[in-house]
Amino acid sequence: MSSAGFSPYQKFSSWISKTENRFKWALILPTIVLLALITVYPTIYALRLALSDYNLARAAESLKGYIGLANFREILRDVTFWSSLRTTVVFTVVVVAVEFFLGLVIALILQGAVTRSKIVRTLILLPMIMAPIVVGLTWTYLYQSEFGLVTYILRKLHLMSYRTAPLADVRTALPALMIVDIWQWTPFLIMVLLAGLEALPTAPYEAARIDKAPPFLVFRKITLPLLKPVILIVLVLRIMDAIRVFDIVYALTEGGPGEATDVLSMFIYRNSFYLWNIGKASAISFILLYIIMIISVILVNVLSRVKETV
Amino acid sequence: MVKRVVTSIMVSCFLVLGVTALAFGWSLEEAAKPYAGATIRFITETTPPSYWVEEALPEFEKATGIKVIVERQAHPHLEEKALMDFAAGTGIYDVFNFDYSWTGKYVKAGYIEPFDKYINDPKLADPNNDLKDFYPRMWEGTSWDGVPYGYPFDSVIEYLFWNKAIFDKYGVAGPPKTPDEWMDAMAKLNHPPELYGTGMQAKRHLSIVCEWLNVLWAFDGDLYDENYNVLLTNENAIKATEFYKKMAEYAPPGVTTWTWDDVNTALQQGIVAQTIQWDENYGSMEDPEESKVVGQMRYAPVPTARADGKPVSHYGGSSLGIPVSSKNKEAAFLFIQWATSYDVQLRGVGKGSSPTRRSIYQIPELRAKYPSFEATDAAAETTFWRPRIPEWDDMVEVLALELNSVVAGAKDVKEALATSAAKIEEILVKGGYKK
Repeated sequence: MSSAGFSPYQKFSSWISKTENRFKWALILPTIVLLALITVYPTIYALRLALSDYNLARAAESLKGYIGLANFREILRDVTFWSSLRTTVVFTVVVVAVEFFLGLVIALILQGAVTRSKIVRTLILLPMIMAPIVVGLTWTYLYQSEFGLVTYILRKLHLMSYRTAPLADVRTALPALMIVDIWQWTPFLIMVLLAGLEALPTAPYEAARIDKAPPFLVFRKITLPLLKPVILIVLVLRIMDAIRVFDIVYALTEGGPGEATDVLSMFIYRNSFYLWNIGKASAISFILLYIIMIISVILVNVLSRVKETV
Repeated sequence: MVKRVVTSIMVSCFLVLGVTALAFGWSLEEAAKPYAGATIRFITETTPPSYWVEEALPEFEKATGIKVIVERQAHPHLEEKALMDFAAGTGIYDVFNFDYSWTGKYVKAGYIEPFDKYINDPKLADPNNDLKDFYPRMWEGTSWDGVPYGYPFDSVIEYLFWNKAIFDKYGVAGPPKTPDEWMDAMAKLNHPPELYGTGMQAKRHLSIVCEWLNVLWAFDGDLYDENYNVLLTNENAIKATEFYKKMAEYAPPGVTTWTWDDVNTALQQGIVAQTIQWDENYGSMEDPEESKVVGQMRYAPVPTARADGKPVSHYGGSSLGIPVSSKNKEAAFLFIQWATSYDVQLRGVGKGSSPTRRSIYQIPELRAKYPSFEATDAAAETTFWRPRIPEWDDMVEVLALELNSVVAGAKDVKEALATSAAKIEEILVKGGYKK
């Protein structure tokens, strides 16, 4: 009895568990390979570009290869980078705050009977499901300086002079873009917050009703804390999206007038497709990636702590 | 003796006939035989001549059996698509419509084919194609270091479009000859919101740089001198840019978002009395379906205060060339030769064709029908042009932002010019032009 202590069953189960482990790996492998191909490889390649002097228009003579952190140094010295970063931050903070506020208020109003109406749901979803370029073109016409509907109404209400137009003025161009983003993405917050509201447990509300708690207190002490995880997830998603905003800026202003709407994505686009400076554009993309990563990590940490307390 | 004479006469006759037969023997159908069944892709800009060539295309396809796919893109996207293809060497495109200011960039990068080998190939080149008929400036724009890289396709010259009916209605004599007369006309013709004194292409875009260059040249200014010393902070540049800024007072609201497309619509609708615009749009002024100003438009050089009195206009034309990566180069050459031929350019007059051949502009009936023909013919000989060095794109980026900021009121003229000068200086030093 040399193999004392191990029954045939135990031997078999040890064998199968090892095989199972191998089997699991075999199942995961295609996904890992695919991910490596479509995300890891391009990221490494982009890093290589970010560290080289690579200009598409001068490919034959200027591919000098590795230049270290020179692209990053150039970007950090570039005043346009800093102003576009500032514009991006202002844009993100304002649109996410307004969208969240409006989304929450509308979700609270719509909570209940209305939400079951398919028509209301469809109407709410409409701006969100429109292709970004369609949104951009539609708003370009609404803001048009001669016959745009928004321009016309603003002038009739004496809110805008005949000497200017929403997208033509450095003071109004960014707010005009913010309105488009708010119009398009508030519905997303409404839908997610509504879903969150409807999934809340009913017991605390019944207790509050018995205690005759005023509505505001119910909202502050019950609804808001319970809704926190949903709120944080929706904020993470919106912040990440807003920092990367490109389509509406590209369709409406291309960064102008002056530098008024020059967001980071536009700055990257300009460097890659107007100046063909792929090396520098890749470097800016990495900076943008790090910014988004840091913000996401912070928010996700907050989220996990909130989840524990809830 | 008689026999010898007869023989030599007969030999000479045969020789003459033989040579003539060779010369007349070339036909597009014959030349295209080896390439029948090929498909070529033509990437071009959304300009009038591109539309005209697409309209005439079936006859080329019928004669040659070569199928042509036309892809039209707005100015910046044209390059975006083409450059990606050339850099990767995929060979998607066979015919490429390139701006003359890109010639150096593409030649230096090794992306476009020198044309002499096709021009000198008797099987491909039409012996009756008179290359001397192309305007010298346009031929020069197509060439780099004396070697041609295509055939001039689109004569695009920027000068003054002025609406004679509107000038007459308000009793303003036209066209203005000096900057003072010009500003005076703008003021007198400005009756918003129905009519504005001028249009402007003042978007943060290539268009504002092109338009402003006219004004800069009119004030005897320039970007830099022959030794690459930047001239943007001198008195002429400041005066020109102040003038350009003041024009906005007589322009429709929103011109800081306008390019050549918006200016064209405003001209067609008669809401601007005059403006700087590209001559290739002459046909759209006379199209009764789109235009409210049929028969009213007149054309003139940009009003100038130059000491040498040289008329001011801005050449911005483009040519058709063949990418090195193309897999159908001979078929592409036959297409280019056809699309830029006298016949195709002539038949498209008024339908979008923007001829690059001098002889077409001399036809009296066309000169009478299209007043722009006389203006273009005169301008083509003297027109100014922008830098053609590969660094031009970087300069456009700088100037478009600074000039647009000036017109939008976000920046002072001197400050914007000082910033532009410093950045352009840096670009020229980096490019190795200036120590």
